[in-house]
Amino acid sequence: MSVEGYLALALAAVVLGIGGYVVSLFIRQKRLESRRASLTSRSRDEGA
Amino acid sequence: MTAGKVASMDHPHEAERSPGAAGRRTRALGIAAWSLLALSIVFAFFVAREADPAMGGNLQRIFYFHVPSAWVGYLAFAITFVGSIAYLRTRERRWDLLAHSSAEIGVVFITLVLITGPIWAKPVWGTWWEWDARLTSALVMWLTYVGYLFVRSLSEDPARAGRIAAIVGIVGFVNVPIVHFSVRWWRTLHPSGPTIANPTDASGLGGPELLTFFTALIAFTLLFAWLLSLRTRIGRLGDEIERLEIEEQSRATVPALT
Repeated sequence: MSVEGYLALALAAVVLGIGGYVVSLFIRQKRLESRRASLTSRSRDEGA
Repeated sequence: MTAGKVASMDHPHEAERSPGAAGRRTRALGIAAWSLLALSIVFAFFVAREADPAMGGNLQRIFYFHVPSAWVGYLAFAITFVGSIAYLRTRERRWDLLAHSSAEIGVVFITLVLITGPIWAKPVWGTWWEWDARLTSALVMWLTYVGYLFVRSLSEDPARAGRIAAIVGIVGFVNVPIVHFSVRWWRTLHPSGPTIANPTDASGLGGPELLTFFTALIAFTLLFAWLLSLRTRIGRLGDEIERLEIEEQSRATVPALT
């Protein structure tokens, strides 16, 4: 592999690593927000 | 987590419900971090000059992402260390959450260090890996904090898991200065980078390279702060859901008993 190939490999690792982690955080956040909304609405319905 | 433990937190979900000043700060931090990161990439490829062929020539540009990633790992584990001590002293959940969040981010960045380092080493040293002091101690550091994340799942009781993890977070930090100073304490293949006290002499970097390096260092530090803010918010959200679930269970149990 050429030097440029190794450089591209390293950059891809950094972009995928950081980008992947950020995406995973947003997915976790969305999932939790939706779960909270459903629990809050159930709690409101039961209270009514 | 027990209901009492969750209830003892000071309105952990308010930041999520009303993204006020804290939300705006996180957003501003994110914009600053990503903008500087983009600038670092431009600097790394168009401002920094090609290094000596013995150091990999163009491949040396990996250095502008490899070293800041290592710095973020150190910073993250230092925060885990402080958070772990504070948690063991106070037993306040927010310290455990801070330590846990920081360790998780640290593991991500040290993983990048352990990937980008060998990619640079293969064409320059002729091998992906060498069991020298820097590489070995860095691998041990990574394994320690992967272990830190793993031990949290060993106990059903989150308070106990937090205590065990805190001990790992404190003991594991002993290795961090060893990793950093290993290139000076032992003979290693790993090059020693620039230092704040003596940035040019030790590394042979010139003005454009130092500009690129410090821009990347600030960008990665801001990125870490942004990620930590996001990750702790997710942790608080998880705690709130646990509290709501416990409340729902208790509402379901009380009518059945009466």
